[in-house]
Amino acid sequence: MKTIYKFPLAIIIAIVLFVPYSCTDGYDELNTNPKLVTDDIIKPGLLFTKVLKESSFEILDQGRAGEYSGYSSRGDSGQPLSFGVFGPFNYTSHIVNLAAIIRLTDEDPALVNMNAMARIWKVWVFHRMTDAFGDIPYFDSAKSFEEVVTSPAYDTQEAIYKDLLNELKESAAQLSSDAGQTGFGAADVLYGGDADSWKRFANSLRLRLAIRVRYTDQTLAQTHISDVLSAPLITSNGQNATVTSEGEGAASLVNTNPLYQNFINGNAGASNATVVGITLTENLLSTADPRMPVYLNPNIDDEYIGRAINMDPDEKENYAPSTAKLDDAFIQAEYDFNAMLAAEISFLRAEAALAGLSSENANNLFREGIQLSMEQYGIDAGDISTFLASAAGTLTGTTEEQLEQIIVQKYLALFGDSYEAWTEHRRTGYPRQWIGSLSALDTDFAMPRRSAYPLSEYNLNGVNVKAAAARLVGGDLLTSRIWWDTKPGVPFDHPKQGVFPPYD
Amino acid sequence: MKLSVLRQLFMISKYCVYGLIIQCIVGTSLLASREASAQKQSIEKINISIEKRTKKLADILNQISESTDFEFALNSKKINLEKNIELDQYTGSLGTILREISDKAEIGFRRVNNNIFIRNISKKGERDHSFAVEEMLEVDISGKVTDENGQGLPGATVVVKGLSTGTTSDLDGNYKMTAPDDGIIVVSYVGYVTQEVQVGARSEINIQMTPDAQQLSEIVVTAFGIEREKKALGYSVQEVSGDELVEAREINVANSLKGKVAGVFVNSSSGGPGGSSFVQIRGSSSLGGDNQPLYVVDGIPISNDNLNQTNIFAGRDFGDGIKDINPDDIESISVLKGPSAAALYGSRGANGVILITTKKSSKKGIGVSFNSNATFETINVIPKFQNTYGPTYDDDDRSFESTTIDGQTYDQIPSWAIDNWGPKFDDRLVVYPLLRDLGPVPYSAQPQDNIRNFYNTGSTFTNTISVSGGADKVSYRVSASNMDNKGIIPNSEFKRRTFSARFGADVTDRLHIEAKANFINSIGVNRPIAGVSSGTNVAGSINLIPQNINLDWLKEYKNPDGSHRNWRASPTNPYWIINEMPSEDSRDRLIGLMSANYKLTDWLNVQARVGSDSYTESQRQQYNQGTPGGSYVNGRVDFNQYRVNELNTDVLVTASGSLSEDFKGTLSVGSNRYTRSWEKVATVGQNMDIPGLYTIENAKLVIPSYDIIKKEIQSVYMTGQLAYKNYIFLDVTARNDWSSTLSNYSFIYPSASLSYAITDALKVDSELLTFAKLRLSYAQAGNDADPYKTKGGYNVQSQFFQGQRFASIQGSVPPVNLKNELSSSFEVGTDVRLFNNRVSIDFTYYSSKTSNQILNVGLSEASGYGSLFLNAGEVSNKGIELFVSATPIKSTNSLTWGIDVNFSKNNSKVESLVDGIDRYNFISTGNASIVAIPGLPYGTIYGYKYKRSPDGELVVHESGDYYVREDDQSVLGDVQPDWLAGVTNTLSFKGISLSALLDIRMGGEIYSWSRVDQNAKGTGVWTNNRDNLVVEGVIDNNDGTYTPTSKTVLSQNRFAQLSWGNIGEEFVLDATYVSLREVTLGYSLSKSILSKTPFNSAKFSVVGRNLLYLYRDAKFEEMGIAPESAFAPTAAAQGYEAFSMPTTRSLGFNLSLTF
Repeated sequence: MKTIYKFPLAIIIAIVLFVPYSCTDGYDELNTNPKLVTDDIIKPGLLFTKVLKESSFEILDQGRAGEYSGYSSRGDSGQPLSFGVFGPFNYTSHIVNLAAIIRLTDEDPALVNMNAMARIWKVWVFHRMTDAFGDIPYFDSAKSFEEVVTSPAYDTQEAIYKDLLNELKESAAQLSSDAGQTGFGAADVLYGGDADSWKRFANSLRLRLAIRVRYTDQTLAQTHISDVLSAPLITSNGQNATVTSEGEGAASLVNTNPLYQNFINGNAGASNATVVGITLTENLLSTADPRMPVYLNPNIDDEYIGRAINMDPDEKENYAPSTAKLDDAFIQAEYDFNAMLAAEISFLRAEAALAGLSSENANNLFREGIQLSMEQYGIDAGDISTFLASAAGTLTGTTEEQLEQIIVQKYLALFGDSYEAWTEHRRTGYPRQWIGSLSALDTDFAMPRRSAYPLSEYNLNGVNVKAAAARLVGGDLLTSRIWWDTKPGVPFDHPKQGVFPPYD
Repeated sequence: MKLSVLRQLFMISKYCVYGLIIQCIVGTSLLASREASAQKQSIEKINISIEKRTKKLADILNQISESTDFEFALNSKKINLEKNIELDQYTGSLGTILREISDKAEIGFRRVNNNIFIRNISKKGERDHSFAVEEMLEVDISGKVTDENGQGLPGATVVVKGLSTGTTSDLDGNYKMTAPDDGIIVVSYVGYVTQEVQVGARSEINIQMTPDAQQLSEIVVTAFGIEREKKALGYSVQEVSGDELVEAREINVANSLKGKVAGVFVNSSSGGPGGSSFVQIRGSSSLGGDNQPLYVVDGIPISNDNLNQTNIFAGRDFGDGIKDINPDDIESISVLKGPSAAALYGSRGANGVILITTKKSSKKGIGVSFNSNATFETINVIPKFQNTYGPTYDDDDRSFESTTIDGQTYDQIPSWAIDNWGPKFDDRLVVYPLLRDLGPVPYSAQPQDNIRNFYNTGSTFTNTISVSGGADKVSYRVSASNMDNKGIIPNSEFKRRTFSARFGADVTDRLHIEAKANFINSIGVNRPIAGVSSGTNVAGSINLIPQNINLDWLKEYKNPDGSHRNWRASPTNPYWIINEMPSEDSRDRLIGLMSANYKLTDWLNVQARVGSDSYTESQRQQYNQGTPGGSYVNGRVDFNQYRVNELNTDVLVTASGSLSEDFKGTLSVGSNRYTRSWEKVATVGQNMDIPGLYTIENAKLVIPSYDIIKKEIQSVYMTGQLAYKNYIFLDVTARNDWSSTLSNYSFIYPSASLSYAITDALKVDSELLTFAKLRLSYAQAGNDADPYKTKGGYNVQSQFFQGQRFASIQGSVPPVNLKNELSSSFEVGTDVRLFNNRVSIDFTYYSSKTSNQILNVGLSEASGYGSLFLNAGEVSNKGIELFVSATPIKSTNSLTWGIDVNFSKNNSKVESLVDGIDRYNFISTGNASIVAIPGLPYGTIYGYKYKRSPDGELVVHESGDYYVREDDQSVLGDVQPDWLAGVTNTLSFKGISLSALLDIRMGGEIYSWSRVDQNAKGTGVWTNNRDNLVVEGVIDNNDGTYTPTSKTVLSQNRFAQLSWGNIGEEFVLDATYVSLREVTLGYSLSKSILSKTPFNSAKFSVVGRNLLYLYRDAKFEEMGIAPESAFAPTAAAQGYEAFSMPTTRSLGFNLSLTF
């Protein structure tokens, strides 16, 4: 009989044992994610690799920015000049992680190089953002968890540019070649942690930004140009700021060239993304540029005709039946994303000289830029000499005509960096772009002069974004001009504007 | 304070153990009496004589025993049989002699048939003779319990008053038992007046019951499985019986609640069979939480996780927790709607509680029941498309390319073409570059059943067998069930096997134990992918196929080189999806329960319970080489392994009794500990070496990850009930929770409710007003957060670049001091029965506010972070519920017509949000958002409206080509229904019963992504007429004047531009519907036929579910889309239709046998 009772007795005892006598002592540990990495153990290099990789992969943009630069023209994109949000708004991906690195390395004298590199790359990311939108949140953005500003105010582009230029100056000075410095090492997929390379990059970027503002604030431009021309700059292709994607053997497809990923995936429009714009073909054609076959594959008629943008249905129908496309080199898995090139520095210096902002020789620098760019693409030395000997190899005409020559050559050298090309087109008006006559436009038949602010900002930061929009003449439109966009007369008409077809 | 309560509980538990031990030692084995011979004479009539002298007690008893048929038995070892006794009387009746012995020896006698039990009597009061010597003569009685019409009442309880012996009547109402000849039997049956009958000398006692007119003794299951009289409840509880769930069944039993319970909104997801269900009680109260009720099975909460929730873009719905419960095992479902009802479940019950009571046996003997159900699912609504125009743009063929095959030149449809704004179908021969192997094919529309042919007829077979039985003190039930579903999507299957065993025993008079184990194995094969990501969603992919493409052409979904073959590179060929992107998942789940209930005294009861719900689930998703999209192209396999465990232990001490003649009370104090752990091991293998081999070893890139989430809630609670004269009932509860997920672990909330039975109190005795009660309650309930939200840091990611690993700062800002959400609710209701219970009306009004919302508020990206966790905001819910049940026709043995109507109306409103943040996004796609905005309903659809002139005319772009939208977004609708109703009509005639459920949803809106897409791509039926299209409206002259436009435009401008230009207003549809949800026609074999068979009952039914829409918005009808079924089981997703799977209609048969 007794055995019967052992069973329920056991149950009761078991249940009593399960019932809580503990209190909340263990709760803090219980509610901590074992995967959480805290400030004291995070390696800043992990953040840096992520940002460098992801941000540099955005350089080869064959979407809207590709079309606005004139590098590409997609048949599948409907109305290329319409619909406004396309600019990089990289706060949550890049800026916040760079800001974290800067905080993590701020107090430690042994980490000044890491600190400086993060500051420099932050300028690179930020300048692309402000160039697309104009005023954007800057000083209040990406604070720590404790100090987060949930609705950051939009700072003026003027204030942003001044700070960006200053950041570059300070951080270049902060970089130390002292071997005792803990750098990012291999985590720095741009320069392998080399302080001198970063110093050259910072100075070169400062030159780019200084030139950018010259039509608006010549004094600011002059100050920084004078300062930076005596500092080390990127002067050879070996010093280019380049992140190279992994090749076909890449374990993860996302580490390969995005265009390659598109093709591998058979994405609809993958082929379209490689259709080049007429702005590119006509400028290569007009001077018999030896980079033509390196950059492009001809159309089925073996002609280099790029596609125009914004054509109406009749124009589309009567345009060349097929168009030139990107050379296969651009859709290989391995690709160089160039954040800054030696050739560009030469052209920037040439422009500075032309504008009287330096005492260097504009023509020599112009020719040096062409040479560097062609060498970069492995053009035969003889072909380079032939080109330089041709009329296209020497600056001639009025200052403005010479500027057009410089910017067009820079445009050809920058091929692949759509944002920079579009930005320089807006700033200088060059190269001139032919635009088709499709009526449904919200840009007055011209290239957009900025991107509209993201809708999400109107949803989540309404007061501040509206204040920024109110500062723009015309409001938050694609046609409104940002702070440095003050050159009189731009945009300049293409010589064949109104003529159809624009080639032949 | 908390510790001391716990210590007391521990002490009580200890006493409980001591009690058991004492029981063991003392024993009551003497009660096991020998078989009585049929001596049925009273001891007062049996005369004996014994020797006249002082004797030992033992000798006296021996002498009595020898001279009669009686046997003596001791009930206690303390009785001194050696004691000498001198009796005054030596002859006389046995009764007289025993009384004398009792007096002298201070012992008591109790005669039961041939046994005389001896017990100690120490207390003074017990020494009274009338108690000291008792006699009980048992006679065999039998009879029949009948209702007012003379029909046998099965399952009526027949007990002997004052004794625990009794029985229940069988199916015909017959009973058989033994009872003392001078006893009283008590016959009771729910809904009838309890009767007491003197046994007397009768051996056959027939009892005719009369319906209970005065008292509503309906019993409902409330928190912790406590069964209570409905009359005593101060809040609304509605029950659904298990019978209603098995005939016209749903695989996910939660879907069966649709239209059946007032105040409960149910919607299935588009996850196909075995997908999850969205259940919401009394609206949404939490902005950040899931708003889903807690499911409690036999007193123990179970997990209702959705392990891999779909989002708006993509994902497979692997189902929720409730879908594992076999409907055949369910005795009843009780829906606790408000916080008052659910207060005792603490933070987990804040969204209401659905209590499921499973079947157990209370019958003696063995019962076997068998249920077989077969249903066949066909598509209920099918997408429809225009079939006049083909691909490209400009209403003509200028975008067509040309190509040459065998020297012949043909038009070629460009490979990029997906929009259908091209020329009319004219039967010319065209070539599709990606389907070149077809050769030239006519450019013409395919038949409309093109799409229907893709889908199969689904089938579901369910067989359940259960065996139940028991003896005096034990009962058991075991069941096994097999459900086998083949979905409408080819190759998709869902199987579920459930095994359930339940055991209960009265170990002693005081100790009752119960144990249950429920094992579920479910297997899903090729579950559909949901969301707007049209590339991989079968329904989405089909939605994008232009009418000029014959689905048959796509059946060959692979090119000779193995690559993806389709009419276009993207979306993915639906046949590729179902063949080359298989998935399989399997879940093994064990839900176990053990409980022990011990009566310490008549008024004090201890219950201890432990329940565990644990399961493992493995999911495998494969993508064959060539599958378009990101990392799939080189072949990929995703393995996800989950291990989930929830453990609940609780102890509940209950004291109950009468405080005075008028007051009765119950007080319970309890504690509970809930722990949960959730583990996920995920392994993604990419870039397969050997094609078709989906092993991790074969992958060149392997990305493993591991997650674990742990949580604990400790609680103490009390609940007290006080009843005054059985017509006023007051309930008070309080609970304190300590949740590990908050910064402030501890939170407390009280509730009070009052029920006043007016008819009882005022002694109303009326045929018209049979019963009326008023109820009132106030309650608070809390809601905690998800684990791990209180700290911030970095996440190490699985990627590498150039051998370097990645990390990123986390995207959400942790809260400063996270507190619980707090709901306060008030409820008032009434319960009225009229015309002798023929009509019952249950009405409730409630109002609740939930403040301190735990929000993951979206931040401006410029802050650097995606979101911020904080406590802020308030949501209110106000509503009414009405449940009317009537029996307009009721005649004995013939026609009965019953009608049940439930109606509910709820308004959820966002009262406030965070300062400085004017909007909280639930779903945001850039096209339209589902948001919370202060002052507006929960789940407002927000987007752009058409721009209108001051006169209300639509404004057209200055080019005259297309409509333009407002500059700012505004409200386009809201996801909440205006009201919901369910109407069930039941007709029964003899053995035939016919029942139909109408499910009605009135109001509320849905943003239809399918419509946006059909409009953008020119597949919509409404784009069929494209001649001389004018964008009717006015052009703004920018000087306050407007000019009408008459320009003829391209069809793409008239239609597609609305989608491209994001005029959300155009795509918000009315979600109203009237659905014939369920029809069953059943026939039960009559008793007279059954008596010739081995069966006790047999019922055959023809069943149908989701039969048709009697009404839905014309636009839904036009598109061939159902106005229900959301892509995910969340409140906001109910307002966003995104390429949902076609809904199915099921028709089938159900056979139910018991023997």
